[in-house]
Amino acid sequence: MRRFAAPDERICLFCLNEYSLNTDFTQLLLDDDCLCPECRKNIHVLNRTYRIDGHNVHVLYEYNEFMEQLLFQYKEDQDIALAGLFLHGHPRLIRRLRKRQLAALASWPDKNLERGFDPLTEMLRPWNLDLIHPWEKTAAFKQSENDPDSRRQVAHLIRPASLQPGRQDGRRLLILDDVITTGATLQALFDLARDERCEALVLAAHPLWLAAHEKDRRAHPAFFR
Amino acid sequence: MEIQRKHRTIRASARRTALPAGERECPDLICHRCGNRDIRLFGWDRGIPYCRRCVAFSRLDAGQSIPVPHLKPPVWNGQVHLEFELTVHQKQVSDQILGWLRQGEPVFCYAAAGAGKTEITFASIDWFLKQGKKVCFAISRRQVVLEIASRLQAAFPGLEVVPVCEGFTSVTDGDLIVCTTHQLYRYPEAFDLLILDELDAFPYRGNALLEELARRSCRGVRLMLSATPDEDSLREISAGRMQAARLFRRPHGKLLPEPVFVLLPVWMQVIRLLFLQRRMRGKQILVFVPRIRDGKRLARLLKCPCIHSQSPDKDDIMNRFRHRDFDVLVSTTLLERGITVPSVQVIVLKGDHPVFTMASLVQIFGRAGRSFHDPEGECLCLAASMSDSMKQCADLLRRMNESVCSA
Repeated sequence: MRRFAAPDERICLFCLNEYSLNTDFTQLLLDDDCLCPECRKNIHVLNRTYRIDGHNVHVLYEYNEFMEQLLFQYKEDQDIALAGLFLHGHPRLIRRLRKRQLAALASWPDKNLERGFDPLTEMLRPWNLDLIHPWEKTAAFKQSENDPDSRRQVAHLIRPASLQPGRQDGRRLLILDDVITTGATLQALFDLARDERCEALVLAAHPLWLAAHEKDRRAHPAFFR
Repeated sequence: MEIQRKHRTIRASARRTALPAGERECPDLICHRCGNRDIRLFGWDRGIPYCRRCVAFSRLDAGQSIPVPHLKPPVWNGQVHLEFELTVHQKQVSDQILGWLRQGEPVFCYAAAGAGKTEITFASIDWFLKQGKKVCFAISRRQVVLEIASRLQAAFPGLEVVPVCEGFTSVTDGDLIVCTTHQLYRYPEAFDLLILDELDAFPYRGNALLEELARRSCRGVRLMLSATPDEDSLREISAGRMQAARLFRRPHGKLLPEPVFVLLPVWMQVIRLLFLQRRMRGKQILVFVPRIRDGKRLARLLKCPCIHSQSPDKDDIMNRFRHRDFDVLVSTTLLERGITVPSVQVIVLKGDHPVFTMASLVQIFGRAGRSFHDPEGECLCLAASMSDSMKQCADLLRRMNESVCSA
C-alpha cells in the first residue's frame, strides 16, 4: 500500500488551504490530487462526446462558477501554477492526446505578451504535449466579452495562420479550446480545417451549450475510456 | 489597461494555517502586497517567483514593490449635515472616539445594531478631512458600500464621496473613499484614518489576507465598528492595545427588539409564516432564510422577490423595497448587516440552521425597530430547535438592554 505523504505537506493548488487525506475512496484513488476535497467537489467532470455537424466534440468539464474562477485566475490573473490542474487526473485522456495532432486557435499576440504565456500550451506542457497554431485571429476579440449574436459572427475574425506550422503525418487533428459557449469559434475552426476526421476537445462547456446539444450527445463515448 | 475583474469570493487560502510560520518562510521571498513569506504559497513562472496568496488581486512577483498610489488630498471646509441631532449618548461616544483617534490610538466602537454607529464616526471623519488627511470607510459587503456612501454623501454635502466595489471601480479616488475590504489592496499606505465596519462579518472575519491588506492600507489610525466583536478584538481591548467605546442605546431611546423564538417543525414554520404575512399586512417584512434555494422556493410561495448574493438586480430590488413597491422581501444573510429600511418586521425561518451564527442573528434582528416612527419592530425566529447561537443571541440582546436600563 502506498504510504501517503504527511498531511501538512499538502496544500490545495487553488484555495491554498492545507488538507489531510481521508479514507474517502475517491481520495484513495486520487492520492496525488492537486486539489483539496472541497475544491475537487466543485469541479463537475462530464467526459462526454457530442456529434456536431459530423465532428466529434469531446467535453471534459462543465463550465460552472468554480471552473470559471479557475480559468479566470489562470488566464487573467496569470496564475501559471494552475496550468497542470486542468488535465490532472486524466491519464487515459493524456494517452489519447499523445496519438493526436493537437491544434488551437492562436491567442492575440499582444495578449500573450501581456500574459507572458499561452494558456493552452502551458496546460499541455507538464505532459510534454505539443500544440500547433494553424489559425490566428485577425483582430483582438474575446468571445467572453461579446453578446451571443456577436459571438456567432466570429468566423470572419479567424483565418489560417500566416506561417503554417508543420504537422505530424498520420495523426488525426484534434482542436483544443478552453470554453465552448455558442460553438461558433469551434465551427469556424472545423470549417478552416477542412478535415472530415477532425475532432475537438473542449475543456469546459457552458450549461446553455450543454442543454442545447443534449440531443447530440453520444451514448457511449470511447474517447475518455 | 486595467483588467476587469469578476467578483470572486476571496479564497479560503487566506485563512490562517496551523503550521508554525518559521518552518515555511524563506527570507528571500516576500510579497510586498500581502506580506506572504511562505514558500509554499509562491508560484514559479520560468524561475520567477510570484505570490499566489494574493494573485486574485493581480499577479505580483516576489520582491516586486507596489507603487504607492498618488491620491489627492481631500478638500473639505463644509459642515456635517445630520438629518437628526445626535443624542447625548451618541455625542458622548463620538467625542470619546475622536479624542482617542487624535491621540493616535486605535479604537473599537462596540455599538448595537441601529445605535447609529455610522453617524458617530462623522465627527472623526470631519476632523481628519479638515486636517487634509485621507480617510477610508471600508466594509465587508458590496451592498452596504453603496448605502454607506450614499449616507456619507448626504452628511458631507459638496464632498466627493467615492464608492469603490464590484461594478464601481472606474473611479478609485475621491475626498472620501468608501470601499469593500477587498478593494483595500489598491491603497497601500494610503489612509490616515481607516474605518473598518463589520469586521466580524464574512469575508473579512478570519481572513488573514484581507486583514493584512487592511493593515497595510493604513498609515495612521484605525477605527473598528461592530455590534458583535470577534475574539481577537476583545483580546486586544482586554490587553489595553485598543480603546473601546460602547453604545447600546438606540437614538429613539427604545430598547433593542428581542426576538420571540417559536419552535416548530419546518413545514409548520412555513404555515406560521403564511399566517404572519397575513397578520402583518400593510407592514414591510424581511424574511431571512439560510440558503438561496430556500429563498427561491419561499419567494414563489409568498409571491414576493428574493434577494441573495447571486441576484443580478440586487440594487434594483432594494430600491423597490425601500419605495414600498412590495411589502415582503425574502433574503439570505446578504441583508443581515448595514441595510436600513425605516420600518420593517423581521422573521427568520429555520433559525437553527448553522449559517445563522450568533453574530448573524444579532445583526438580523438589528434590522427591526430602527425608525423613530416604528421603534418597536417585531422580531420572530422560527426554528425546529433552540440552537446555541439562538440562545447566545437572546442573552446578548438582553444584556445590552439591561445595560441601557441600568445606565
